[in-house]
Amino acid sequence: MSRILTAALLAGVTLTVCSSALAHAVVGARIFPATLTIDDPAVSDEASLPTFTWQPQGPGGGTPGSQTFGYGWEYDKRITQDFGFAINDGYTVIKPDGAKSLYGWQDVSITLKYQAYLDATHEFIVSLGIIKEFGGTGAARIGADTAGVTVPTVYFGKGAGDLPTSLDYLRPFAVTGTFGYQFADERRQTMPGLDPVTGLPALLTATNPNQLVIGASIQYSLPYLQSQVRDLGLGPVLGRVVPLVEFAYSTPATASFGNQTQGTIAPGFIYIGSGIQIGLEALIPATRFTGNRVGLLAQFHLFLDDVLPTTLGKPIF
Amino acid sequence: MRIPLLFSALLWAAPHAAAAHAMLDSAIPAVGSNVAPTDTISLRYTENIEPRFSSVTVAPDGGSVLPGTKPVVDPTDRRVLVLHLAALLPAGRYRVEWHVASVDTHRSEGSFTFTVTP
Repeated sequence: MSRILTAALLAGVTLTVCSSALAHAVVGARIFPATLTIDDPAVSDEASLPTFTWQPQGPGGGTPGSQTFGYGWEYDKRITQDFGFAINDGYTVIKPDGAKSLYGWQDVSITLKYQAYLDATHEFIVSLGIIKEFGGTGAARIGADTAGVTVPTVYFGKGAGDLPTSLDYLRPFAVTGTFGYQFADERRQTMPGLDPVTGLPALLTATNPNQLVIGASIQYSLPYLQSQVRDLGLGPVLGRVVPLVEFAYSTPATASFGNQTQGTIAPGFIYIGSGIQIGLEALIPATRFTGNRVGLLAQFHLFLDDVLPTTLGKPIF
Repeated sequence: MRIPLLFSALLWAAPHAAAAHAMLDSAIPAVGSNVAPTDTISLRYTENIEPRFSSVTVAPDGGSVLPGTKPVVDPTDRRVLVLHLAALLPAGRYRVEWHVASVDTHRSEGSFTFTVTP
């Protein structure tokens, strides 16, 4: 059982890395799409229904291989024009090789975010937020933490549209990023388990380090290329696609107590439609501890401020 | 079960109020193109446009905005804004700047250049 739980915890690492709140931003002529593994810098009204994740895991280190399926959802709501919250969760199914499947909900997370600075001319936006993951609200059997975390986070986005016209074809580039410091709500946890030496039931102690949580995306917006630089006749589908690569990492910021750096690299594309977006990315483990197989991430996303502008899609105040 | 239910509800509701930030779909003269002298700029967006809260200006590279009428919506296609200039544009490079509001009041903006060749 402990080997299966270890596999579940390893398989759940990628889902944890990918579970941050997501939103989209319009800054001047730039649309920063809602990225899939990291949050973008805006406050908005929208919903992700669903975010699907498939992460296979090969056997290794005495643990069996497994496949993990994640079905995430998120709802983002503006309270004022520049201040909002997001709530997200996900249902996880882990299928270890040769063993019974494990399934359950991840911990619930709530994000408060304030859009602090926006410069339309330079396509630059900065937001400040705080993420609270409520430990114990998910199922421990699929790796959901029993202790919560609190993550003050800075978000930014910068488009390259203000580059000189001699560099026209670089202007569709944009970067977004997040910098967070994750405080463990409980640095030391005691929980029932099996003593690894005797195999007998015992109270086990785990130590949770604080973590640096860092994310970034590099985007090349074909809609921007078409409408701001040169109409290449890409058509109504390709002309609305944003190829991108996302990076998401977390690493212990204090004594690690055996915790390792986790991360993913996610190349893919996002199609921006009228009121919706569809994203598809490969999910590549960036460290040995994160995993050893390439997975897949897909998302259908509704811009509620676009599709329901007079009801659910507008700020409360 | 709760996710498919909410998803279905939102999909049902969406077509009844669908609009969005207007993105520039195409333009005449085309974005970044070389064209013969012209006195008309036509911009086609992805959403219907509210002309009272929209503007389009044309200026030569490094110059001031050229006189023209206020842009009007094409009566046969409310996604198209048309700007008539006072005279044919002589050869040179021009920048078009636009600020538009879609019919649900979402605002968007952008700019592009084109070149008039003799």
